[in-house]
Amino acid sequence: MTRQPSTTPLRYRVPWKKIAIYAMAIIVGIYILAPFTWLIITSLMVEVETLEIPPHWIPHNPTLQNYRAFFDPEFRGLEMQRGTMAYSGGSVQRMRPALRNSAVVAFSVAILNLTIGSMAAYSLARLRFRGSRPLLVFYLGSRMLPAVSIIIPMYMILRRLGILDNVLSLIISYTTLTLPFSIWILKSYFQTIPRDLEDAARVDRCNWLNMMIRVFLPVAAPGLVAAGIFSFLISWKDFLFALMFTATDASKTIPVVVAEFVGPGQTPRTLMATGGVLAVIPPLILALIFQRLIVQGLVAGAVKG
Amino acid sequence: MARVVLESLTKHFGDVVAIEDLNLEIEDKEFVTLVGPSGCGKTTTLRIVAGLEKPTSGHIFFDDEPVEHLPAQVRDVAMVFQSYALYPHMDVRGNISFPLRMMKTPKDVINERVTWAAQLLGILDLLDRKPKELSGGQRQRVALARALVREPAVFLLDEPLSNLDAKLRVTTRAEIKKLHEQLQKTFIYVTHDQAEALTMSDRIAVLDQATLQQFGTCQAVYDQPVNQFVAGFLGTPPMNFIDCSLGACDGQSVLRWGDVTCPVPEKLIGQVDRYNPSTLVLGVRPESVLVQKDFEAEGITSTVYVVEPLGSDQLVTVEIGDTLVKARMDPDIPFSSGEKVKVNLAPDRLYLFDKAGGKRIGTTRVP
Amino acid sequence: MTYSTYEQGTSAVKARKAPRAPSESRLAAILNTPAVILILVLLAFPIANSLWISLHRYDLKRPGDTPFIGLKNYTDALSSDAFWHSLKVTGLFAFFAVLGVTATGIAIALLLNESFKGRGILRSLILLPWAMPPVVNGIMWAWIFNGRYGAFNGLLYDLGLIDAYRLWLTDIKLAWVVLVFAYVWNQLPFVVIVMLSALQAIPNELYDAARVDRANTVQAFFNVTLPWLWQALLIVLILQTMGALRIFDIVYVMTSGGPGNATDVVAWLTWRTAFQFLDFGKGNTYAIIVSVITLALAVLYIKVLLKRGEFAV
Repeated sequence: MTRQPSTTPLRYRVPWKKIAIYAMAIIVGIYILAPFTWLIITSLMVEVETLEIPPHWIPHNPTLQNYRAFFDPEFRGLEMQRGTMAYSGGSVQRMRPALRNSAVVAFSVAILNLTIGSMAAYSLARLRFRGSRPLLVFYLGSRMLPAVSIIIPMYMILRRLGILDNVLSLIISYTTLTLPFSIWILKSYFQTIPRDLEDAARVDRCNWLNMMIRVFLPVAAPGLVAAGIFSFLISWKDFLFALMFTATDASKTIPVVVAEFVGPGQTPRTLMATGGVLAVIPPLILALIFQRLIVQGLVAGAVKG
Repeated sequence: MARVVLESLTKHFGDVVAIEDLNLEIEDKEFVTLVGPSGCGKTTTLRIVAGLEKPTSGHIFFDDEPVEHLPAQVRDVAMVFQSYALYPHMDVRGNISFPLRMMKTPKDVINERVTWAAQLLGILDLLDRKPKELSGGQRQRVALARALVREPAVFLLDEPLSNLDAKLRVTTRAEIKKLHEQLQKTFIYVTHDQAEALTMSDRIAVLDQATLQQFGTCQAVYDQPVNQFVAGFLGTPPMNFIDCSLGACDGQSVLRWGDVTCPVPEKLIGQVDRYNPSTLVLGVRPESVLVQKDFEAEGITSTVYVVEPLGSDQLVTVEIGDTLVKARMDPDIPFSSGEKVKVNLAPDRLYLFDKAGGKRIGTTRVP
Repeated sequence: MTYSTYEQGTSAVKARKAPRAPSESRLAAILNTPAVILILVLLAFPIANSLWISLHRYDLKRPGDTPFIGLKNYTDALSSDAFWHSLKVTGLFAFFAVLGVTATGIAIALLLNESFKGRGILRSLILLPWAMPPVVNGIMWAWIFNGRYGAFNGLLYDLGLIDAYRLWLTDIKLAWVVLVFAYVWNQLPFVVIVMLSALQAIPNELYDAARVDRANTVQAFFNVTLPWLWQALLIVLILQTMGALRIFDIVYVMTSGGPGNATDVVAWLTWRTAFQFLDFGKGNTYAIIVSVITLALAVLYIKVLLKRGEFAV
């Protein structure tokens, strides 16, 4: 049987679907990147330029002086409206210690999450014991409650412990908040590691601790990194707790300092934008580098739940 | 050196009985295979010997010293896992040297042993690779090397060949056997493949449903199976089983099934009087069945059902009195479906089993 | 080879009925202790404490005078206009925010599920908005929507969509639009990622079968894609709703609850009550009421959607 030729004349069929897809992809790309880009552009402008209507999409006089203001305490060549110098100058000075505080807090939280979280996650993933079910519910349930409802009592407890205005208060509270999710991610990941490996290690003369350190945890590294990065990012982003528990440079984190730009007195937009960019760089870099792992972690935590 | 004795070993997982009252004595330097279908308890037994599971009751002795309370890391065993269980984050050298490093062996001894083991298994050139870069056969050798390197008293192997392709399996079988000869250590091997068990072992332990069915040399277990399960488990193609009943004809004992009357030697009948003579099973291996084209010859009338040429022989399935029986014949004799033939069952290779319970009543096979 | 001096077993080994040797339970207990202690002390206890405080009059302006007043705080709250207004504002915001982020998220996830050049790049970029701290996010969008100099106004003006700049953040009717925009952008990655992974789990054969059965794109979406997504959708809805009901950061930096009280969300009200008016009792009460509402919604979602997604996987 010979094939019949198609009855419709061979005309150029417009690939509507393909066009729509590429168009949408471009729109989405713009949607994601444009706000960042605008922030960066603003940070490169001279303040007067931000007051132009309509806004300049590309700075006419790009400058790095905003960034210098943050990092060079001697820098005075900033043209600013009088009266704002004192206020925003103060905030500008606070960025560096804030960056340090945020880094210390986020990093410590990540480490604590990994140690405490791995232990609990291992027990839930591998060991069979009465109470594993209620324990799981306990960990998950604690995720469900809004921060606002516990912040007041937490404030009182931390005050009694005397660690308010100390990064320690943030480290402890963030760890508590992020632990349930870390445990969940780690548990899901641990369950994918073949049990044979642990058996082989045992036969190869490892006691439990040795086995964990030499075999299990190295193999579980991707899951650990995911949980670590996750708790790092959550700690970096938090505002409410930092606002409540910090008072001075000694412990203020980035979100608090950045929020201070928005207040009484006209802080130059350019400085705000620059502060914003600086605040965002560390998490952005982490997100870009580890994005595959973060996605895996999110999925494991959310979907497989 | 390493005599392993299992005494009344029992293991329960909750309500499930994995092993029931297992008794086994494995001599030093022996190659013993635990063989049986999935779920029979062989892997569990191996894991208990390794120390990865604790028995519910019973004892294990290594050279007369009870070890069932000792955890895996202090028992003098090495294990090769079905999945090889290679540490993915270490290279081959790291994998092989791992147990030695855990025992804090001095560095030069480690290097020496690793080189020795790698050489023995032909993987010297792979030492710097990671497991994920290796093929299945290579990974298996690394797993073997890792077990060798500690020179343990007992080697445990849990279906190490089942993840290899057929050809590789056959060649590796021989290599493992050779390894055993070279090392002169006790090997306890687990597999569900009876051909593997038969070709490699000194003695075989056949397990089914958590109990030991028979333990003996390959020949003994093959030629003198104690019950229908063992008889049917070993041998490819498996033994033919024909449901029949005992009768008498002209003063001679005969077995009847369908319209067939088959005279049998008295020896076979043996102790039938202890069993129900109307529910018997006649067992005969395919290699003991002779199919003759010459219809004039002596034998049971039957029709050829199907012919399966194998190259080296052919399997001819004949229908004898409603029962299908497979015979292994010379490949050059032309048989065709529907052909009328005469069948002879070798009188000195017959087995009789009790249908209820499967116990062997008698056999004409001389040990 | 020496063995460690464990009990050299005797012949009388009693059969052990327990499914697991005791050492496993012991190990499990040790492993979980730090986590449990931390959560109990810093989470469970504060919650209980919070409940306790809400049953008292606890006003820092009058320290020492903290009588037990039972449910009075609750009745006060439920009859307070400010509180109801706050709930309404929060609810409105949450509705549009969750709707916006879910719809947009699904759309983008569908897009990323198709194959096209540059998909990989787009996929790696999609995570970025989530990495931004909400306060920075708020500042950024406040600037973009700035009434006088904002980029958004500029864009709309250039495109001829408006003829005069809108004062977004100071317009009672428009302020919450900006909040929704900011929230959606920040939360989008999460939704996209979850939905995308759910989409990728759908076996291709189903689409092939649908095509053979002459279904077009839209029909395929409703009959093949959507049923598989219910479970992921459930997770997304629960988490996004919870998040939306709790917003605080962006309100703090963008509107401070204003203009007037147009964006006085519950978290803002609670914070103000507790830390500006120093009425801890009332503050806790608001927080607890919101928690109850959140939990109730979660249960509702689960009931409704879990049935739908029962068959999948």
